[in-house]
Amino acid sequence: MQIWSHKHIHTLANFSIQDYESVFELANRFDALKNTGTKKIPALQGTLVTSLFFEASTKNKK
Amino acid sequence: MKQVQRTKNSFELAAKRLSADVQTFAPSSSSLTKGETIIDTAITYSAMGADTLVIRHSSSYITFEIAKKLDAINSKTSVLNAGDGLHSHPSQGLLDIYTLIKFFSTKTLSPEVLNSKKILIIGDVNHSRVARSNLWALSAFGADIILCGPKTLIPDEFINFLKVPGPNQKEDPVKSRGSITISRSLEESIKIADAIIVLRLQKERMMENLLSSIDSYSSDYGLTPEKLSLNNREIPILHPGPINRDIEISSKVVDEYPNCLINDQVSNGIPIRMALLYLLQKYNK
Repeated sequence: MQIWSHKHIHTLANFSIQDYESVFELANRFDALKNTGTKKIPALQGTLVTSLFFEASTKNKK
Repeated sequence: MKQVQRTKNSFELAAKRLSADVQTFAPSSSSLTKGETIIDTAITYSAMGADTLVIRHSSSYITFEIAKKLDAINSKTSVLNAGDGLHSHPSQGLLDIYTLIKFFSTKTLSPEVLNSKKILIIGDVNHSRVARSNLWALSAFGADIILCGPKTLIPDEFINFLKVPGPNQKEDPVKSRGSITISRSLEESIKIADAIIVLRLQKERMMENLLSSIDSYSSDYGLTPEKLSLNNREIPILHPGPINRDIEISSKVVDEYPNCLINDQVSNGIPIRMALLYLLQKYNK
């Protein structure tokens, strides 16, 4: 897998082919876990993911 | 289920599958109601120790602003855009293309299967951050995209969408991309399509006088089994959800068409979001 160079992910306009391939390769590996019966892996244990969802509806505003 | 809830749940599930701790910000009960800015809210959660902020907001480009402020204070927190105004929805774009690659690949996952495929996107492209993300992702792998809908929902200028550099971008990181064409005839477009992405019609567009009626839109651009039969193959159908049954897509297509991949998209969203969360932490190490 290529080295990941994005600290933030804003838009796919900034994704190189290698970026896409890194995402797909990993996603494929994670996807395959369900065939082993594994629901959880400790890859991000000890880290905190916070979701900040400010948009209240499906209506997109300009 | 509202789309915002689906995306939030999907990200939270992805984080939990990786054993991350998950924290959810609730706007209605927060200091936002006391006038705190969105950026201050993000800084607060970064100060609490968030490694990644997954952000959905109605303002386009807001995640750039938040990330800039966080970087300026030397924060290690990463920002992951979960949908900003009309601009971008990276994880949806990725799971859509991943779903198509899985469909077209034979033994191993091969993104090059999309090269020269004609992907038809139907509907309100102008108000869709999902469609914008689809355009960047699909074209990167050489797919040629046909945008189909009325002029009020797909202005002619969209033909040049890929020629305008993205924000904070000096040059396109992809050297050669597939093309964009625009069609006003769904019947003609379906005949040559290799896959279809149907966009949700937002009924507010009628209030904005962009459509004469929902029925007339549905008649011209709604996807039905009869229109699908114009293509002599069972091509894959995607929709970012939530669907408006029998408006942009008929219930018969959703429930009975063998290659309706809407549920696959939802399933694929989890590993794609796991990959994004994992990669952002790899950067931070």
